Amino acid sequence: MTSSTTAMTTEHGAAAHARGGISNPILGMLLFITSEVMFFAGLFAAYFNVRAAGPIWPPLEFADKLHIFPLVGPATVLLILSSFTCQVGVWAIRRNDRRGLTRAIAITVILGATFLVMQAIDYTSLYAEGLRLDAGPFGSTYYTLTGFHGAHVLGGVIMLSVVLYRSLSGQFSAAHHDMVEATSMYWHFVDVVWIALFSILYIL
Amino acid sequence: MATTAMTPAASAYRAGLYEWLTTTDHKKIGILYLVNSLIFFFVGGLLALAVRTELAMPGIQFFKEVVYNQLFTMHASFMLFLFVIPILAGFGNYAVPLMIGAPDMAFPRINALSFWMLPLAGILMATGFLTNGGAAAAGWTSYSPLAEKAYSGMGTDLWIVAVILIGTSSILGAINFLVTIFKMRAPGMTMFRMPIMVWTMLVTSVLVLLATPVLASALIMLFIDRNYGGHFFDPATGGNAILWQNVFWFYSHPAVYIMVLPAMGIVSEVLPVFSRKPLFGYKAFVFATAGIGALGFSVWAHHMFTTGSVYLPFFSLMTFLIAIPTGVKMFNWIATLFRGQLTFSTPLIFALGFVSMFLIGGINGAFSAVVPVDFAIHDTYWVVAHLHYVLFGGSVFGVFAGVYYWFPKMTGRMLNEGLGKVQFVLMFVGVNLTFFPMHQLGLVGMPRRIADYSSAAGWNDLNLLATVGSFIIGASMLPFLWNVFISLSSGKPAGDDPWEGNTLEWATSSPPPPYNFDRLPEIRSERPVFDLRHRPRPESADLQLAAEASAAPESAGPAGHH
Amino acid sequence: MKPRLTLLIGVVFLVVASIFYGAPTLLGGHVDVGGTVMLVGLAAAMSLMAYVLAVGTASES
Repeated sequence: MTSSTTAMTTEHGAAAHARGGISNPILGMLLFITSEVMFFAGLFAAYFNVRAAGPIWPPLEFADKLHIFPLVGPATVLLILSSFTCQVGVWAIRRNDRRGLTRAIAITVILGATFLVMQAIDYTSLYAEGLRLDAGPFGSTYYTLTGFHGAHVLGGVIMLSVVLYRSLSGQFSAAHHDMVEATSMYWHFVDVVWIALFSILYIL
Repeated sequence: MATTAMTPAASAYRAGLYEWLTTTDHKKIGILYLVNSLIFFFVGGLLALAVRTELAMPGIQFFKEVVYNQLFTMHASFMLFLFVIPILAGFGNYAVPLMIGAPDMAFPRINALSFWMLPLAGILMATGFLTNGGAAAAGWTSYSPLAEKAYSGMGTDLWIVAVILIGTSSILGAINFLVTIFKMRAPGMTMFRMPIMVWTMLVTSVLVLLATPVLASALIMLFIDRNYGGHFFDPATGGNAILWQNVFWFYSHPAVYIMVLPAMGIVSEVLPVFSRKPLFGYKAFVFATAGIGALGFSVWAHHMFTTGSVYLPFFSLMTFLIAIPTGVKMFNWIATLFRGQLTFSTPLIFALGFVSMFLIGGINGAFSAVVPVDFAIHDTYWVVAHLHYVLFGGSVFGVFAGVYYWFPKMTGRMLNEGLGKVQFVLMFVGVNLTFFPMHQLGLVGMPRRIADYSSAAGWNDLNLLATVGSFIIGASMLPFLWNVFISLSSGKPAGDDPWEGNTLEWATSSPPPPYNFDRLPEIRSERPVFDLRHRPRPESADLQLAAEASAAPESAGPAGHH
Repeated sequence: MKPRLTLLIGVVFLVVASIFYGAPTLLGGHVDVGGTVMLVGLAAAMSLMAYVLAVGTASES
């Protein structure tokens, strides 16, 4: 900000460039992501605490209930893929390629929504097998962790849809696309959390 | 007078209700925070008076135990979540952009959202009183299994949702503060020229950002346990009741630093101004604040020493370590005052009250850090004494120092000094009379959170004394309210810089224009307004020339750059 | 200040977490897995935050 007489400059992008570094909204999103890291840390802490206290883990009645196939493994692949497509979109708009952005974000939205659908189907099959939210601490931690991750995916899909809409109406350009950058960072974060969740819940 | 305002009179416009309800101006939002928080201070205070009235004499006189539990739970919840934390955020909101020479916070609309979530959350929490089972009654710490469905009614659910809302408001505020402080400082305002208030808001925001989400996760787990058949904290099915305490205190210990660091920042602004001396050891203050923040994350289980699920040596050692940066600050405040030219205005007196009483609170806390001592005094009135000395003797006195210091800036009028001193004396006497006896009560074993006690225990006199003290505290609010009421309409006009302050907010009109500054003085130290006031004559002619030449907006910056 | 230096704060908390987990494991005492996880999460979050703040204000002090 070179002049305080111009109040809140409308071109926050310009202000950021004057100062160097990351623009205000993107910095805000990054800080929000750090707070979400701590949110999941609290949930993971509960999981590990409960897991360490139990004599055997997973409890016998659920020992073979968490299947990687047919749903969770492919869903993981799709989510990782969607991170790639999202980043492709970011690279596109940095080159001012609006159509490339629209295409990439559309694919990302579809992949993200598919992930959610697959997770929902997986939940119904797990419920049928007896692994429910109220099934002891195993059920509580499983559904809370994956459920809140799913909620974050949903939030991300909604944000990506808004990006898609705005992209379709031509609101982004190489110089002004903060929301795309911020949304993609959020989406990558959601993906990283899933990779950690998947590894811990299904593999470890 | 050191003013840079171009049209001093133009700033004092009267804003209507619609403006106040829809504002995104950090100054108005800061004032809204202050007013809302003070309302909850009074409500929480009335609840405290109810608690003390019941405890004045042995026997249940006024409130059944089930109601008493709601009283102390809601007293603490209102005070901590709806008064202390928000009012310090409110001071930060008002002061930080001004002190760094920015026109507003980084995200003004999110700022407004952060505020308006608070009265909503407060009302939500309070409606617990209207439910069948009453308001939340498991203590502000809401330990399981007492907070679980079997033992607590819907009031607890309302409490959980309200605290989640407040936490969200805090986190958004923290993001706002961090981006503002890091990205919107005026030219010349390097990190190590920022006022200590800004530094404390920075570290506080880091604590809020990183600790509050953990509380959110704990509250969500409790909500799931209560309402969706979860078993996080249920030992019967393999859960762990202590898990709640672990996750809760991981937030709530940093939270107590969230509740005191900005107040320390206020004191660090007031003391130099009223001693006419620079703050002693500025850099040490910065590192001490950062050290308190970092160490604050490592001590949480000292609230759980008696559970048997804690690695005692680690937490005891870490807790002792925190005394070091705190001691550095204490020493530096005293060194600031030493051989200063003291002006005993009300802000200074409240700041001195802070320093003396926070010292007591810090020392009695250090007692608790000794594990065997803690085994004896945990959950007794010793802890109640400690927390009130640091929170009331500390934070609240810091808050009132800030109120008296910045009221002239906010309103353009001075608060009455005489009434301010009356308030201070009543408050100081009241706080000590209420809480000092609690040390003794704790040492002889009076547990906390009990509605009644046997007269055979010998606790009667001290309890009665504490109750008398609490009503004196209540009385101290009357001169304060009267002071605000009369000063708003007929207080002495303040001008830009009634205290001859050091920091940038005193370089603009009182109240400031919506965009804060017409132009900024040159920033070459942590006391830019002091420098402006004391620059030698020839250079002030430079400033004059710069002002005249600044018909074009881009020269409205530090005078030295041409 | 080089932004990469900010990652040191994460290292600090990882050290704290290691001591927190290692000391009772090796010397006997209550091992708090949940607390360790929270401290590790804190190390990650704190270094990410410090890094983005340092990078975000690059090219001016």
